[in-house]
Amino acid sequence: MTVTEITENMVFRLSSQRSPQQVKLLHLEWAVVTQLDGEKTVGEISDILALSKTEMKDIFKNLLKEGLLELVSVSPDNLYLQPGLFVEIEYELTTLMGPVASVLIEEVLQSMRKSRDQFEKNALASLIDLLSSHINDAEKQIEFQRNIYPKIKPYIVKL
Amino acid sequence: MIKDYLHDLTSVEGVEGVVIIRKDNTVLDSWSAPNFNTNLFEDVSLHFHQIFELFDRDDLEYQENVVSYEKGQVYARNLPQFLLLIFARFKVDISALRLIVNVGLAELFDSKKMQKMLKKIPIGNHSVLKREFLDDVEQGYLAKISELKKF
Repeated sequence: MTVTEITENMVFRLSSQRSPQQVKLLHLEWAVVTQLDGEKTVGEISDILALSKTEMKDIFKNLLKEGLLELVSVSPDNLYLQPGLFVEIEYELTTLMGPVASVLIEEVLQSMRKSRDQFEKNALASLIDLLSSHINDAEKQIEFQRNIYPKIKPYIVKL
Repeated sequence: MIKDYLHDLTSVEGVEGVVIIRKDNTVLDSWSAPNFNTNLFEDVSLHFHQIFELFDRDDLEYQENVVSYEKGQVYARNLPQFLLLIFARFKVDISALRLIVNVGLAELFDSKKMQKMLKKIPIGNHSVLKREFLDDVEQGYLAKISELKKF
């Protein structure tokens, strides 16, 4: 499986084709290598090592580039939102902004380089943040967030 | 306050501490995960009071700030009556915290009970950057900022 983007629920193990000793690694990259056991997710390793999201992505990308990683698994069912949720988001946004809402959603999705049918759950709050920032009236911004929050809460808060 | 209006913050995986703190740096309400060092609350909040006061002095309308520390990140929201701080691991999405805070605070400010309570809290004036509390370096830094503002 070709990996185009590093996500938190990916699981990697060390490649049998190349040893870390053959590559010049940075301190944090070594720390990640020592955590790779084919069971821990990228998110769990990142949490253990207190890595920021940018650090996590950069390190895993580099290790992949060096041919040190093999993807063990990734769970698409848990990763992506049900496209039906976009109907709810569009409905709430249309109530406040009118028909321009659907165009705005497409524009924001394009700027995030994502689509409705392959949208990661962990990017949902960022989507709402970006959509809110396009509502000029501060009161309407909060109204949109208050209306949509109960519907997206299960994806943000552990229940 | 946290239990009634910002409870969802305490259920976000990776959030370790939430504190609402008055402008005189005394705690109004707090929540923390087990083993979290709550001494951090007032130490860290003092720095954020200073940061936001500097923003105010320069008429910069910043209401929020995020700063990294060795175990994670601190999200701060500045309001006229109080400062809200959230201590979270790096993996926590700041957009998610901002959304929960926006929704929770909107409900808090809509509540008549809270409106009455908030009226009793003095607004503004952080009182933590008073000249008598500043050392020579800080005084010099402020003097430089004032000089720069003239240009």
